Amino acid sequence: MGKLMDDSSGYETRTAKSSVRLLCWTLAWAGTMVVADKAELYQWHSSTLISILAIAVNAAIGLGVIVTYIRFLKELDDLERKIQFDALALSVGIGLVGGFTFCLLEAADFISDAEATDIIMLLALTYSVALIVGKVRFR
Amino acid sequence: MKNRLKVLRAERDWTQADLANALYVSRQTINAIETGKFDPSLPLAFKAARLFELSIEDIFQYEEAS
Repeated sequence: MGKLMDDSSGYETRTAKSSVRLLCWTLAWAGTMVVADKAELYQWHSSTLISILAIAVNAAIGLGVIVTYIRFLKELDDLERKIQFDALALSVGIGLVGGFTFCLLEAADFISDAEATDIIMLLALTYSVALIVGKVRFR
Repeated sequence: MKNRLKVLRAERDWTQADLANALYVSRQTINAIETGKFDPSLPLAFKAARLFELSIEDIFQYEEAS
């Protein structure tokens, strides 16, 4: 039997485009977060309205990231989606358990000034490691 | 679940990349299915059956967990 037709707009090409789109949205979100945070910190703008506008733009782009990520998940095939869902489930679980553990440790005075960013870092790290483990596991 | 994907692909002289393109999945997914690490969804199993012009049972056989 002959060779199959090569699909130039195949799966790899489509998911690569989706990944780049998601990366652009994420970078835009991170960029607007830095602008909103630093502007507040260094008082680049004296008007409250501009502060609110900077935060609103950041939140709007954040919503864009969520929509783009959902579309990205829909583009993925069964296995890639499973790897993503496993990583998300693990990071949400670790985030919840870690978050409450942090709260309990702080309440018991074992640690001081637990920051929300610590939990976000934990979530991001868990998600990244779980993605790599998933990729290696099904290689 | 056991499957005959590798044998059927070899009979047609298709590479994993050829089959991945035809089924619109990654080559990693084809490899994971062939090695039994991952079971495909029902829509993907139907697509494979249609591509090979066979029934799903001719390609995939369910095994009871021992």
